[in-house]
Amino acid sequence: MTKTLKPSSKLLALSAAAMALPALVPQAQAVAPTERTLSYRYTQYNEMGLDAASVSKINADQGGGATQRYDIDINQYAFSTPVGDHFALSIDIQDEVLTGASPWTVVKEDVKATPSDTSDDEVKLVMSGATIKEHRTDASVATTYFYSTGTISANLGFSTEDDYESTSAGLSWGGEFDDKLTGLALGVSFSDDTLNPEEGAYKGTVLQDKVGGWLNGSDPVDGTAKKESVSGFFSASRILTPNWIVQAGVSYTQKSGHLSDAYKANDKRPAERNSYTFNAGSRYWIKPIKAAAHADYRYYSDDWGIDSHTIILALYKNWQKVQIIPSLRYYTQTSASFYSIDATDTTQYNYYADDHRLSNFGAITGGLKLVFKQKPVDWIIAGEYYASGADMSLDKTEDETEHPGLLKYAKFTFGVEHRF
Amino acid sequence: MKQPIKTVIKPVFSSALVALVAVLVLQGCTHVAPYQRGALSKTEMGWTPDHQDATLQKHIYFAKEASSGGAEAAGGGCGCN
Repeated sequence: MTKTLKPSSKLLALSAAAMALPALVPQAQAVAPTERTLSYRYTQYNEMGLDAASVSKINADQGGGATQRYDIDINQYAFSTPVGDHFALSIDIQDEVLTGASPWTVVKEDVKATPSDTSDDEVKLVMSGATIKEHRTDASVATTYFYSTGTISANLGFSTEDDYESTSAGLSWGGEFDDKLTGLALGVSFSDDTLNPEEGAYKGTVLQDKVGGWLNGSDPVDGTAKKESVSGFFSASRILTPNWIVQAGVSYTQKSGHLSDAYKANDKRPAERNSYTFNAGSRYWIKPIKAAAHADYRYYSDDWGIDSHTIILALYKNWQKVQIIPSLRYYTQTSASFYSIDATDTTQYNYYADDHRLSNFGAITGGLKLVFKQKPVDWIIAGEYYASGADMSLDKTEDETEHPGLLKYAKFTFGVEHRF
Repeated sequence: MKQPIKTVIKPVFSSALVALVAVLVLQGCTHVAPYQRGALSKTEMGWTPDHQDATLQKHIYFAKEASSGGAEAAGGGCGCN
């Protein structure tokens, strides 16, 4: 049965402006922007150092054995502007400088000096040297066409590192139906990546010497390797009440080419990976406290055997000229079918990897962001802490050894945004 | 014995799909007039209120976890370790 909510006279006064409001089409703003925005962010990302007891010294004489992990300085610049009555253009640039060391492989060490008893051997990380310094720049441009019941967007992106280049492009559509109560969106995207580690920061390092060459995975070729990605998504949103909108969607991605990690010693992955996601989201306006409650969920599954769940909760609380945003994220994944830190002879397997990112683990992120609204400028500060571990996984089993490379990091952001 | 995650996922995934269908099928149960959408139009009610923050988060999780993607256009990869 259809129930129509009656308007109050106060609300009627808003109707003229509100007629233009969209059903908040997923991933698109269905009303053309009327002002320009210039925005800058500086973020410092620091991974916590490793416990020295978890790091092997077997390559210490070659510069390995570092306990320090990555520190990254990130500068982000964004500009968006309306173009005429029906178009908008946005440009985003992200520049990163990275220093530190990363896990190269794992070894089992007899820490109790009992060679005949291997049951008490401990898994230790073999780290790269702390000499890696990498610079990455990512630029993208997007344009959106706005018409009365929807949008069409196109974007082009390019990123470059010393040893990696990526070009990507995407096209999406968003439409509104049923008096703009229902939004539908769909899109496709494509990326083409080129790896060239011999030209990068790793050239001539202990890694190169140890593995006798950088190519160790699927479909190796001399000098460079390629990988490609194609993906598509579909999503729908629906206004349920004046204070509540929900969204759900699905996506599919196929990656192919050199999907192994060129910087790991024991890493040979399949040359194709198919994944799909299901996501759902809710935005609810809590009128008594003037806050927007966000809830998002994603289920991910791929043919490497990895399943994951991600839940993100956030509250956007307005208090005078300050917006306070606490957030919490929980993530859990199963391991890839070819992942192992126990294998001693990897040559017997078609595929293998001891990368901690392919292991069974869970992670929690807690964050707090403050936005000081001093029209026409917003000042932003934010902090975040991430911790991962095998015991946080939903699928943790008793006899599974935790990968010593699972990380913790802290992130601090300062930003300013000017609308004019 | 602990339940394998696959057996948990199937009902979750099925339920989610049912929810998606329900959202589409049940449209029209409550009509929210355009003048009642003031709260829904607020920036903080958007799916991605801060796109710079979202871009960086996506990049970090892409580099540190095995899952990526969602109901949006995917970007390019990186040599992140």
